[in-house]
Amino acid sequence: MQLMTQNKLKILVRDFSISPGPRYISEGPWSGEKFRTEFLEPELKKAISEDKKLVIDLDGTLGYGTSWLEEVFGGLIRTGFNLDEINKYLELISTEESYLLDDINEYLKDA
Amino acid sequence: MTNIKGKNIFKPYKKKHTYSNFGNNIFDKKKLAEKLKTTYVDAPISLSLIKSTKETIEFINKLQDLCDKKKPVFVKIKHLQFLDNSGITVLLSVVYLFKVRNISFNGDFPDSVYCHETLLDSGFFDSLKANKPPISDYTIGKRNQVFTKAKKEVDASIGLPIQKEVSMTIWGEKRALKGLQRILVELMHNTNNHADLIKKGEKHWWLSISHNKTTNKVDFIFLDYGIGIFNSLSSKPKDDLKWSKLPEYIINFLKNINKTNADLLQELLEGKIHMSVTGKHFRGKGLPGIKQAFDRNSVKNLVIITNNVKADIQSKNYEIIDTQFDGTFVSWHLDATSDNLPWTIIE
Repeated sequence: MQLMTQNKLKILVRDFSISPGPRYISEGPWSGEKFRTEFLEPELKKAISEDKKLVIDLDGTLGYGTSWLEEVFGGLIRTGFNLDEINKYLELISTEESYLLDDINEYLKDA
Repeated sequence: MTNIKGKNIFKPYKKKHTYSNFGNNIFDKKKLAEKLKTTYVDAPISLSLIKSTKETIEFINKLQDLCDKKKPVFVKIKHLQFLDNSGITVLLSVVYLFKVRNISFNGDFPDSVYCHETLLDSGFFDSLKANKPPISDYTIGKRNQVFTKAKKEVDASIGLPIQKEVSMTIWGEKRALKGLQRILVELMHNTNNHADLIKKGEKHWWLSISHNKTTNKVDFIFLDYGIGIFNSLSSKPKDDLKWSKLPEYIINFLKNINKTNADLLQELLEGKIHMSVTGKHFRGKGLPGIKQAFDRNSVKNLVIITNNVKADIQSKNYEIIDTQFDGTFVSWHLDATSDNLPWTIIE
């Protein structure tokens, strides 16, 4: 799932699942909680320790519920990452649904 | 007795009986005692949550009450004159509720050929003949025609066949329908999280999809028999308030004190007020998420019925209905003008 290009790490959400699901693991498969705890947080910690950008590519899935996105990105704040380091190290790609980038910024601020 | 498309749907028990039933033999002596206890319920002439909202909700409420009391039911639909996908979904889900509890459910056939054929295509009669249905994942009907599914968990993977089949019906090729996926996930999530006050994942959601290959249009019905949006919100806990937002909560409370549920639903959907059943400040984004998908032209004719509110989002008509629906009903459709993207999914 994670790729490394030059000074960037990259996660393709579609490699996690083409059908991102609910917020929590207990609610169904391919949850935001699972993605955050098993893939995003370890990679973000690695990116921070290696001073590299972590690119999250949101394209190529069937689409997202708000809960999945909020749990993934808002959940980073709630588990101890601060907004400044997220803004510094996390880079989001969503060419298919560009409005997701604004939504995610709101989730990060509101978490 | 009845012959539709050359198929015998059922056989009469005795020739002298002209009284038709769904196929179960209610005159059997062994079932006499059960028959004596059977309650007869008249369906409304028009069975549609959209067009005959009050009558259809009252019909559902009566059947739910009988189901709760484990009373056998004979539903009279002989006089049915109008039936749409919402009515079919109601019937399919009600039959399921009875059968899963091993309660007898029977009825007569509609005289209207249109209603009869519509029911036939939906798989309704098959559902009556079937044994006790599975609790976790239940599917009835034919893909690409009228297809109904019942499940409890949030299963976003159902979006894959749905997006492929819907886009083939509308555009003749696979297209990505991300707004549709957003709505499906939000609704499944809502049922899983909020339809039951005590435990998550207790209530089924029902999704019925009807493809019209002549008009290149696909209708969707989503239904649950939970407690509904407002009953759910009124039970929200107050123990996870974000104290920095306390002034906002107080202002919202004062602003909303004289509002009806119709007003509140509109403001919830438009994101003007924020409420979450969980009491967690970061939750409660599902309803605005559905409205956003509608605003992006992902779907059309979005209608929501919950508790005592009926909302036609397209016409911005939010009204109080003179009855109480314990559940959430949502309908919409997609057509050739609906928002879509090239198919980039690698399966």
